[in-house]
This record gives sequence, structure tokens and C-alpha cells, in this order.
Amino acid sequence: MPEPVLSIEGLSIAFETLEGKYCALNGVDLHIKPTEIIGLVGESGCGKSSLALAVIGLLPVPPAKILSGSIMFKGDNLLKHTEEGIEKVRGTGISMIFQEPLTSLNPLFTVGDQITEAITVRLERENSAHTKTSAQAEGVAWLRKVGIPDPEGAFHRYPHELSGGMRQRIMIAMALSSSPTLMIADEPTSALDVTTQAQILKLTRKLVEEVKASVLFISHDLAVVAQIADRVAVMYTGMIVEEGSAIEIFQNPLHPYTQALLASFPGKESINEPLKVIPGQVPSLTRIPNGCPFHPRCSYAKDECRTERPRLKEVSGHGVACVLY
Amino acid sequence: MTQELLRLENVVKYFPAKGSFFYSETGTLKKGSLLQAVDGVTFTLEHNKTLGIVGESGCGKTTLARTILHLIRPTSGKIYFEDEDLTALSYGELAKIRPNMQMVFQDPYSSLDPRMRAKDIIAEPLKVVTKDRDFVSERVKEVIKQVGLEEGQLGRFPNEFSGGQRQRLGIARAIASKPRLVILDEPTSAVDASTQAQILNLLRQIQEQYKMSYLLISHNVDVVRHMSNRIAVMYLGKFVEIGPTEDIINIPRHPYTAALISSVPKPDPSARAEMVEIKGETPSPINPPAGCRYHPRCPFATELCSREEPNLDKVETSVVACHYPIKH
Repeated sequence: MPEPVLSIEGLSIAFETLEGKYCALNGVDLHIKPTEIIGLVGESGCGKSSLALAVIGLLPVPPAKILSGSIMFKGDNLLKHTEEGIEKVRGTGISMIFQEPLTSLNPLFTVGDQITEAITVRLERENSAHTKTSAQAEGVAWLRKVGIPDPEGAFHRYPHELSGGMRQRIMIAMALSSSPTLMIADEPTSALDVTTQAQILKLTRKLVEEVKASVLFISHDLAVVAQIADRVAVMYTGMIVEEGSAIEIFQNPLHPYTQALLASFPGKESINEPLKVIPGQVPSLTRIPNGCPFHPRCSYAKDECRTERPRLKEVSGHGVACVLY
Repeated sequence: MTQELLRLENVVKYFPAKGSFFYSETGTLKKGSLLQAVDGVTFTLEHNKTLGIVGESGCGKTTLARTILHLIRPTSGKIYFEDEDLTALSYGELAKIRPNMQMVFQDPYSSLDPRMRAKDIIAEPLKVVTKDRDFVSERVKEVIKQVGLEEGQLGRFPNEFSGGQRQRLGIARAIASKPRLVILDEPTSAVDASTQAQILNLLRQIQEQYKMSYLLISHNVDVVRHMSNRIAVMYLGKFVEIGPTEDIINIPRHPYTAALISSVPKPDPSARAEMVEIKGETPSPINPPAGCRYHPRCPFATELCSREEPNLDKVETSVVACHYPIKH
């Protein structure tokens, strides 16, 4: 069993807001093994992005407050680091791509400047001999690798001159050119069309394998995660309610929330059949229900679900937090 | 009364594009600088049926919707609503027809006035129809229950509702005047997965109740499949294929339809290999490719495709614009 690259244990994070304490993460455990792609799925406001930002040290503290837990990256607790320490991890250790590539690229610099910067940082940290031209040549090579037509031309263009799909390819090139141990991808295809999404998913899988990075792939879309992840963690109200291999989660879901989410997916039933519905709405993170957070919407809820919060336990090869098991 | 509610004949909408200071919509002055958002769309929609329009962003779906409602006037072509040619009507005459055609918008945040209370939002389209205040307030109470909200919530402002509830409010506003046509423009793309099914079921249920026709515009093939009797596939301002839902999904005949359907991710990790990749990107609708607009990306394209634009021809149950429709 290889050592995990990233081990999150018992992580709880809250924000102080005017409406009260906003509990973004409530005791999250997550382990990522080398070269593994983990899909983290959940609906909006379930704490997915807070988790990503906490890992890469971009969570503003305050207003965020880390209540408990640890984030071990290669045996090193990231939460104990100072800002300077974290900065050394960013890029070459952990890199990140975001949902909207236009807001994460600098509009005032060319694509070439930005990718060369990422490569130069890596080369400096590795103490390898390099020149501006060699870094630039590597940048062009990366643009070619991510499938940008006319990479030499694109190198001198500004982000606004490229399409959404191309910009996301550039983000991927930047994130992977620093050869990170872990790449965090936060909804990287949600702003893209399905045909472009299919291209980006295939490309990500291929390149990640090539540079041997692990990936934390965050999405609200179960189907997208099914297409890319080796292992899947399902999140609800800042807690992981189910976790297992992609095949297990999609073909043998155990948690009522995962089951209901998969059942409400349109596409299989006939036109006159209503879709299966999860009643109610996702609770606000300021008012997480007592006991199992899903109990008010769960059709199997019993009395004990109202009082006792189930912990993740191992059931037939995957983890599930539910009293039914 | 005829079977059809809405008929479009060769509807065209061009916009002046960048760099064309002197332009005319028909392109007589500077043809090269027109954005051809909708370029010759023809279809009919029957009573109490749903036509789904799928296509990627920028293919002209939303422009088509706005043109049908005459929020913008078409450049050319005819739009018949209950056998009346909308393109020949003045704005005053259109106002009388408008209560019969409504729209539900994509974003339930920007499409509701934040300073209006729920009851005023729902009542607004009714005020065009009647001056009877008691009737309006009764109707508002009736409609809010039909969309699954409560009468007690009528005094609230939009920000006091969740995303799914806001979309219900948008639906209530659309059905208040008992329209015969509702255009749904990406009605669930801004709501969560667990709420999406609720909204889709609601839309189906009120369609039965009111006997309305829907024109459902979406990039989500699964949603369109669930809701529609027929599906039209749009690419760069044109319909490339129209047919019965199951045929479009299971036996697509246009290469673009086939590629689009196969790109839709399925919630099944064992289906990974099935995803077919389309090469390249959608070209700009300013100066679209000559001949078949899909030919630069099409694996089956020949010289004929780059020269001659295919017509929409009947192939068994569907209508397909392709020189070499896929045989099944």
C-alpha cells in the first residue's frame, strides 16, 4: 500500500458570518494515493471548494476558522505552515485549476508569459540550469501537448483572444508544467460545452498519467466524475457521506443520498414517467440538521437518525456514513 | 383549429458584427460583417407538445427564442402563432398576443426584480390582460400553490427564496396568464442536481394541467430527452436534424448529432470508452464555413460538403441536413 500523497483528517472549518456560524467542513477525512484521480461530488454549498482552498492554503483566515484536523501533504502538516512555507508548496507541490479560466488568467500578460512563469518557478526550485529561451521553448511544447492549434502563435496571444476551451487547456498546461504531486481541479469543465468537456476530460486523464500527478477533481456533476475518477467521495453539508471506487459508487451506491441523486438523473425513464425526486432542499451550512444531515430528506430515516450523526464506516469495500449499514 | 400552434418559415436573424459601422441587416452594404445568429430555421410545434432544441453555446438557441417572442424582430422569414403572422403585426397588436406566449429564463436570480414582492412578480403579466384586481389576486394565490410554493410566501422578496424556489416563481409568472406557448430557456441549468428533478416534474405536471406547448432550449441532452416529444439539433444558426426524441438519441443521422449525443457524460464509469471526441471547436457565426457548416469538423466530409449546403431532407422519421446521413 503506497503512502498517501495527501491525508486530510478530521478537518472542520467554519466561517463567522452575520447569520451565524457557517460550518463549511465538518470532520472530513480524505486520503489521496499517488497518481490517483479522486472525484469529489456534491451540490453547490456543500463545502467542496472550501476543502480545495484549505488544501492549497488560499482560505482567508479569518473569516475562516480552522476548528480541528490536519492536512498532511507528503508527511508535512500544511495547516502548520506559514504563508511563506505554503508558497513553496504551491505550484510544484500542489497546483490548481479553477472553473472559469478567464478570471484565473491574468488579462494583462500573454499566454506565453504566464506559462513560462510557471515553468521558471519549477526550474528554479529544482535548481536546474535554464535560460529564458529554454523555458519559453518548454512553454510552447506544453501548449502543443494540451492540443492548442498553432502553439507558437498562441504563445503570444492574450487570454481574451482565445475560446473558453482553449483557455482551460492553457490552465491545464500551466498547472501540469510545474510537475505537481497533486493537482486540484475545481469544476474545470462546468463552464464548457459538452463536446469541449469531453475533449478536456480525455486530455486531463492522459496528461495526468504522463506527469504522474494525483488529482482532486471537484464537480457537482455525477456524470462528469464518473468519466474521470478512479475513486469518488460524495459530500453533503460539509461531510463525506460515501466514499469508494468509481465503479462501486455508481453501480452499488449505498448511502440514500447517493442513491437518490443517481435516481433523479434524467435519461433512463420514458417520457411520461416522472423523475424520482429528493424532497426538500439542501440545508444551509448555518443550519445543519442534528443527527444525520440528510435525515429530513431521507425516505429511510429512523428515530436514531435525528439524534446521532453517523460516522463513515467500511461496508463491502467502501465507506458509508449511514445507520442502515 | 389546426393542429399546429407555432410555425416558423425560414426565420433569419442577423446582427451587425464588429467593424461594420455602416451596415444593414440584410447585408447589402457589408455582407462579410454579419453575425448569422439564426439562419433559415423552419419548424412547426403542435398543441400540447414539447419541442426540445439542443445545441452548444453560441449556436443561436436563445436568439431563436427571443425572435419567436418578438423580443427582437427577425431579419426575414415568417413566424405564425395560431395561424397569425407575427412578423406582420405592429407592437400594439403584438401586445395583445403576448399573454399567450411566455418565457421561463435560465437565471432565476437576474430574471426576477429584486425590489418586487412575489405577488407583484406573478401579477405583472396579468395586469396586461385585466384591470380586475380581485381576479388578479385570486389568480396569484392559485398559481403560487400550483408551482409548489405557499400563499404565505407571496409577500416575500426574491432574495428570501432559494434557487429552486425562485425558478418556481419564474414558472408561476409564466403560467399566470394561461399561455398556450411557454419557451423554457435552460430552465434547470442554474439549479442543483437534487432540485432539477423537482423542477422538471413540475413543468411536466403543469403542462398537462394547462395543455400548453413547450419550446425547451437546453444544452443538456438528458434534460431535453426527458421532456420532449421531438428534438431539434442546432449548429451555428441552423437546424441540422429534427426528429422524434428516441430516434435522435438512439439513431442520430447527422454526424454532429451523433458526436453531441456521445459527448454527453453518463453516470457510469464503464461507459468511458463510448465518448467520441469532436475535433476542433465551433467556428464563429461571423463568416461561418461555406457549404455544410459542420464540414471542417466532420469525419465524413468530402469536397461536396465544403461546396454545397445540404438541405433538410426527410430520412425515415427524421429530417436531416447532411449529404451523407449516417445509416443505421
